[in-house]
Amino acid sequence: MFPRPHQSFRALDPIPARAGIGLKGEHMDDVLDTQPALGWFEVHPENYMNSGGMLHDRLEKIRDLYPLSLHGVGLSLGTYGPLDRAHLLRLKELETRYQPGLISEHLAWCRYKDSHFNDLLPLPLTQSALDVMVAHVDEMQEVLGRQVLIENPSTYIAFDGVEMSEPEFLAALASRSGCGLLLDINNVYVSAQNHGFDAVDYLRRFPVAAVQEIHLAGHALEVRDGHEIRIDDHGSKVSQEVWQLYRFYLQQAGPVPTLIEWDTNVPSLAVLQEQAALADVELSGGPLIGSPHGAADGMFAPLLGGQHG
Amino acid sequence: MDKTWQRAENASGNNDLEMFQAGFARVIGGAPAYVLPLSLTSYGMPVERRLDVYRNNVHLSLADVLAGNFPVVKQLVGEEFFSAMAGVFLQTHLPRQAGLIGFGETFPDFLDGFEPAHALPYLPDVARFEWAWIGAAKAKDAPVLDPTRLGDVTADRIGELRFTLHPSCRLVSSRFPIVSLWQRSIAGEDLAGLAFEDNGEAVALFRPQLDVLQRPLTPGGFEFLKALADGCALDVGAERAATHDDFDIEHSLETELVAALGAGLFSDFKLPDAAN
Repeated sequence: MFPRPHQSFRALDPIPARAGIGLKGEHMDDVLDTQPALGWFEVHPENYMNSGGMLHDRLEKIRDLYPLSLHGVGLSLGTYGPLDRAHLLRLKELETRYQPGLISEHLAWCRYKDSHFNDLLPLPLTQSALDVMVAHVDEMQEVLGRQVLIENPSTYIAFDGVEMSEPEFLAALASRSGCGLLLDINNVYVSAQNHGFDAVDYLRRFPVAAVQEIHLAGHALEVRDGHEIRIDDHGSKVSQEVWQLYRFYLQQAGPVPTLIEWDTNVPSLAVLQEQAALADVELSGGPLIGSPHGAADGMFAPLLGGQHG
Repeated sequence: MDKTWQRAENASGNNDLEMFQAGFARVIGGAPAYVLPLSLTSYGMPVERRLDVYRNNVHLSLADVLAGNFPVVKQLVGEEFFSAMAGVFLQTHLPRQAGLIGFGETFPDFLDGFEPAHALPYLPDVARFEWAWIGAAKAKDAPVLDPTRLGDVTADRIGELRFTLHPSCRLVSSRFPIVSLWQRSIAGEDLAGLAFEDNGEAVALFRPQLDVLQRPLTPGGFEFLKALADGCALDVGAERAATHDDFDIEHSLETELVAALGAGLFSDFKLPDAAN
């Protein structure tokens, strides 16, 4: 009743260095009807951790047409203590079923004992946090039988007396576990604004060689008690500042598979395609080609002005 | 820097990450920043307002999941009431696993005891209906029983048959007209004119292919399928069903069975070995 005739071709699809979009349930029929010219799709495996029904039927059909990436939000790699083995095995089932080109997770935690918070919570970047992350990434890669990517989170708090910067921490994690990295440039910008560090400097320190995927998304600027804070809500178009940082990064690193994420107030598929098309323009060299690093610095001067207190 | 934060005691031998996460779990539940074993930097915005971002994310994202799983409950009580009710629910019912498809299983029972909603006594059963609908929608795919496979069963042994309900099949019964209520709500129709008292309804929700189907059941028909779901043989199920006036063993058994087979409510059957 539910045979999948094309499964044997799926493994031949790595994620290309093009723009893809986060696949939402409300867009699946539209994708199948119109088969848009997008490089790839990404889904949260947590939304597919049951075995049947409409969503799986649609995802199977879309997987037959496009490369797919699984982007986990629930494994809680940063939680002290044993990894949630049952969750990891459910992820493994999805890996076997959908043969994704990439699997990623976060530098974050979301579980304490048996309670799940459904949010990417911040980790103090200490030696003991690094030991826990390395052990859990090792276990994840061993169970899945592949290298995974770990993403930098957006954060709203920072800790006194931290032992490492985020780029240092992620470089050490990649070096010790052999994992790759997923660089979320919107998260870099949101965290930089929220904590007053220099986003360009962060990108310069980031271990470029380990980066295999980029995320771009919109965020919200909120004012609370008279103070501004940027919230990573994935609920709008990618901001101009983030596009500029993206351009700067590509000039340093060359093209990387790039995902447009949009998870709240989800617009039509056409709007997501427009955002992906903008990323594709940047990936193919951008509208302004050949800007040397010095010129890029000049471009950032107004953007970053006033941040260095 | 806001001020000097009170540091929690760091008993020797405890991992600093574990201490931090224990503290942060309390912060999410509303505890202030000083329960954390390390201090936070401020950069303009007060630390408590920063922690509110995480508290809000946790609350709003989980309340959204609940609202997505129980859209008619939300419609019946209104958005504001639902959000407040979800807040109370989440204080004691955080998800036990990261996949949130299964989140909300305990919500109907919670509603039984939630006094502010008692003006709508049918609300818990509406939630049970919606939970059953999700269960049917997300259940594992399975072929339905081909009725021709029963061709070899002789008439004298039909009563011994034990049917396996399709893995998607969920049975719901209420003393309120939950099916009509759900259908009207989904269609955006007015509930005025719907008789609530002495107007109970029962239904089988199931998904033989991709769409969830509904089959209305009489009280006897519900009892009959419930017995089969419990593993009873056909004749035992019919006896239980016959305690209801609407179910007559002579006629209802055949009509209910043929209808259930035709609809695709079963995935398999067993006939005990005749020698035993």
